[in-house]
Amino acid sequence: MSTISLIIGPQHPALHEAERFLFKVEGETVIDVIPRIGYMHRGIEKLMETKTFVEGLYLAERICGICNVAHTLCFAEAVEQAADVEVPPRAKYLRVIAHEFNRLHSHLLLLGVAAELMGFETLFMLFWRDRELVMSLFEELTGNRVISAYVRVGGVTRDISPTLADKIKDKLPKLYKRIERYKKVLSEDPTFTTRTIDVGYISGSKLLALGAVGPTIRGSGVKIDLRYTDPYEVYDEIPFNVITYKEGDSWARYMVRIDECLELINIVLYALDHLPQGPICTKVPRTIEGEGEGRVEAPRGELLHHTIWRGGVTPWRHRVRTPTYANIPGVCEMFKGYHVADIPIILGSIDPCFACTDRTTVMLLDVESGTKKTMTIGEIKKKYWRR
Amino acid sequence: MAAKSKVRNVPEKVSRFLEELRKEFKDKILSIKVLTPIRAEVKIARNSHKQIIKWLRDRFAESSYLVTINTVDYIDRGDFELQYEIQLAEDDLKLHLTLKMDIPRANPEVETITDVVPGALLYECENYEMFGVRFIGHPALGKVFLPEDWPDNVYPLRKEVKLIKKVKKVR
Repeated sequence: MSTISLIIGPQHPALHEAERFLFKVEGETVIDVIPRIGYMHRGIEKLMETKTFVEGLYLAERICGICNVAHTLCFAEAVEQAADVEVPPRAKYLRVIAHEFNRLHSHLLLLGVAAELMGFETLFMLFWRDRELVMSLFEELTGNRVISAYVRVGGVTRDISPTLADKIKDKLPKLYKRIERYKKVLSEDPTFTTRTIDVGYISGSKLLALGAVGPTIRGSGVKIDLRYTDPYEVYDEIPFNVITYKEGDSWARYMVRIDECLELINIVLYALDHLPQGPICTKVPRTIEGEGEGRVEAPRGELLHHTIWRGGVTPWRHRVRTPTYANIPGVCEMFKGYHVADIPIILGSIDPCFACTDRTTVMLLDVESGTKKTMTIGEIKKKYWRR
Repeated sequence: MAAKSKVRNVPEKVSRFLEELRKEFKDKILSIKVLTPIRAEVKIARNSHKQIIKWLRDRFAESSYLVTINTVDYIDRGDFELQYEIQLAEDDLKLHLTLKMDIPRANPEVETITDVVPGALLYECENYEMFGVRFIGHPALGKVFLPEDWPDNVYPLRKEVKLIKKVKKVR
């Protein structure tokens, strides 16, 4: 049978962001995949070299909207490590609470999207209704709905009030029961199981060689979770289970997420019960000399911010490695041997976030040694606005 | 201060492993710095990275992975510093290793590790297009993030490429 090249993206209904995949297809079966990332490259790593840590924090937050707390937390951790600053314990607990809320809303969002991809619209509505509850609690905690600006270098911006703590303690157990019900639906309902079980299988050792992270690798039975393997903040004090599933298919990857939702509600409730008293922020010197590496378990997997300061007010180099970027070689392996109709389900099972992947604008670079003329956004507007 | 005090209680297994690493690759390991009980920085000699990473991956086949490859441009020293970050994630041996290797800025060529760790494919491409580090033996060294019409021999994350500082009032 002859091989056909099928291009999906950069604009495609199955992808929620712009990215291109070139599938080599024989009949209905995918035999090879060539990804082309970079459609959302914004030059953030270069731009970061001109920012102080106060400005850089807000830039880091804008790498990705969904997992913004993970990015700010990671950035702050890296800078604090470079400056050798210890964060007060209360701030650490509050960071954990915000971080877990962020993960909860991200997982519920993905599970809703997955249900919608399969045509299970009722479940999609139910997931998103419950996500709304999480969002409103998150708004009360941080002051913002999506881009929270909660974590700052040296602590957090706002304290939690006793009334809000009581409200969270009251609402989350109810949400727990509802998520338990959805878990039953996901593991039993044929609408979901027939589309996901034995679809996109990949073994754990193969994923390790490809460097996959997060729920993707935990769905193949590998116990890697930074909260456990490299505990940051106060995760070494909080008891929790690392969720792993042995199956290695799309179903397992979705189930890891729903089990994590249950687990993280326990983490939030534990953190609220054991919240220490004290200050919520500490001072950080403006000029820093040193190297710091922030690593956190973002909703999609391990996130890394590596920052190198050489005594200035701006970093010498700032490196960001995001989870979806690490998962791309893995997901390309997953497609092979499955049908074209399974592509959205398999891609959805790694919870792709391409804004994260590409990070980095070409618009602002002055290419001195090359011939290419680059333009600012203003120039482009002036030239092409009234065509 | 706070970070340094933690280094005292390094788990025995970690220090034993680092000793073993030093014995295995004697002169190829220039220095080992333990940052925290679960993080260590290893300075290695040029072109020894592949051997060390292969040894690590063979030993911890089911519990280690390459986190990332990073380049730092030390223009004043005339070097690029390549950083290979590897996580060992066994139940009783958790260690984040950063292998640091200097390569000359004038001729940035290193051997690829994609045949040992297939996950390095994209990271090597990224370091090539952003810094111009050539990975010899890489199957498809090309552009990942930059547009196709980006000029050759312009590597945006190098220190000599500057950002335009134009501040315009936006209405």
